[in-house]
Amino acid sequence: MRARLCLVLAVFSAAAATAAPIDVAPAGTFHHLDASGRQSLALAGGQVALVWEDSHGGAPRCYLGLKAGAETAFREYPLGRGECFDPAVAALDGERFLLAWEDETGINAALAGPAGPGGSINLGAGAHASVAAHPTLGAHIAWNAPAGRWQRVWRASLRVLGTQPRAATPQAADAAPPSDDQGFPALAAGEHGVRLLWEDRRHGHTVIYASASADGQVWSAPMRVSGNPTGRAPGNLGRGTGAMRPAVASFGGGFAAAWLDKRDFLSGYDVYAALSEGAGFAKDGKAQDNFADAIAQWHVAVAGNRRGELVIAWDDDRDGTSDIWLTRLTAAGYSENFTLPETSGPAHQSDPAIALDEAGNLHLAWIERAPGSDSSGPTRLRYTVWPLPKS
Amino acid sequence: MSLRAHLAWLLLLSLPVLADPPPDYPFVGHDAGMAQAREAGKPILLYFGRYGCAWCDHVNRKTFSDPGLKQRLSDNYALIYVDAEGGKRIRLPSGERLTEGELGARLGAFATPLFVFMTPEGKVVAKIPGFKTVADFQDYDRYVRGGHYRKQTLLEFLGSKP
Repeated sequence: MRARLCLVLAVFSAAAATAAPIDVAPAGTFHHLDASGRQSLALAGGQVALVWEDSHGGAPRCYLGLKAGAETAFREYPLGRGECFDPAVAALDGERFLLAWEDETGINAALAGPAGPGGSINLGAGAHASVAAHPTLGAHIAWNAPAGRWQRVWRASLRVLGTQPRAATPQAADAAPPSDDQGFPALAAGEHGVRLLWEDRRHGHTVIYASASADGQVWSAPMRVSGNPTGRAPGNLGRGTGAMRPAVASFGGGFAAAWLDKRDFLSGYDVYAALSEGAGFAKDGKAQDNFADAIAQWHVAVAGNRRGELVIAWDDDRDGTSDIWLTRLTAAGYSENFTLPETSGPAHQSDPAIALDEAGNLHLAWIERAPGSDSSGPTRLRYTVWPLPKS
Repeated sequence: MSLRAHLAWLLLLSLPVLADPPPDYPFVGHDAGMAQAREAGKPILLYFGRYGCAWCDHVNRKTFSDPGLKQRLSDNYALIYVDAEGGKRIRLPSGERLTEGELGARLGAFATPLFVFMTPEGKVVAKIPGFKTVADFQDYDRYVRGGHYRKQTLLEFLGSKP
């Protein structure tokens, strides 16, 4: 496997070294990078923003870490009230970010600049928030909240007034009454509009749905993105295989969606992806290579930039322990999977969050546990930057 | 709608919701089950299912429908059901908060059903994926409640059966 890795890196030619990893927060206290859509890391005008949850204060709390590109440490700002989960972040404008999280008051949103977060607004009960913004298409938030018997995905546009957002009336992602649960929304905004993906159980198993907006105001009817088959197995059993935890990013002139997909149910979840085609998405396919097929993949994230580079990241333990694995979209399709020295090896590296800057640098945050420690062992929250080699 | 269509529709409505825990078993959510196990000193059987999962449906119909097994498991275990893709938040014995889906990732629930036997304190004793028979569960019960896990792996125990 290592020989193959060397070959892959050689193919990408003269790979530049990653920056020395930064420990973002105090070690040891259940760090989580669990934003819906894996939107835990964002870049705006030379500023880096990372949001996470940990329990170093004795209970789960959310934090925002901010640093200028060249700085070697993050400044830490607490978010939310009481127990707090799943903070998400997206670039807004200039050096500002759009934030969302869930705490004891429900779903909240706020802005943050280099000096830290401003005042927040509350959008009511809910979980698993996602945010996206674009200079002309506006700022948007999505989350899931109970609607009678089911969880339903909601979205709202946000007006930015000074240091605080203001939310328009929330709208259901699907105007039709839900017939089963929806959840884990993921938003992205780019030159060609805004995309919202979510998990949907309307077919009796979990599949990925999407809605598209060209102007940030009018949204399309829901469309199915994942091709995991719906239908009973022989013997009238089940209703279909699973797909979960969608992530979406804008890149070049379009969007890329990625998720975990169990259509090959014997080997666990695989990484599937689909690229935008008009207002929808083209037929999906595996983004991982064949060496990943017999291994379960987890925590898929996707990042792109305006010059058209696209990276998908996840964790799997094909080399014996969990490592962060990556693939790049090339002219020939998705590259062979590769990892980086800092995010692989005997330690347990997982839960990647990624962002790509316009110079082609991959910013990567992840959770790490010492070799041999069990899943409740002490964790570190780490961050590094890797200049993408020319493909 | 014809009489036949009516009957088919009624039959469909009468079917249990797929890939939920088997009907009439006292399965509860993660946190309630962990508390129940600690209070009663009972070992835990945690059933990872997946919404729409065919093999979960199969094991529910073919195995958990056995009255003797139902009695044995209901009397002697804290029975926990977890949706391996679920977003519900749970609390681990360590105090860590996770979603059900994230617990699945931690425990490697890549194939469902996955049956995880634990001590009353939540220590994992055995993880068993896939369809299993009544006889299989009788063996697992002997392994867990007989305390054999303290000296043998499950494979060693099963291999040493007379």
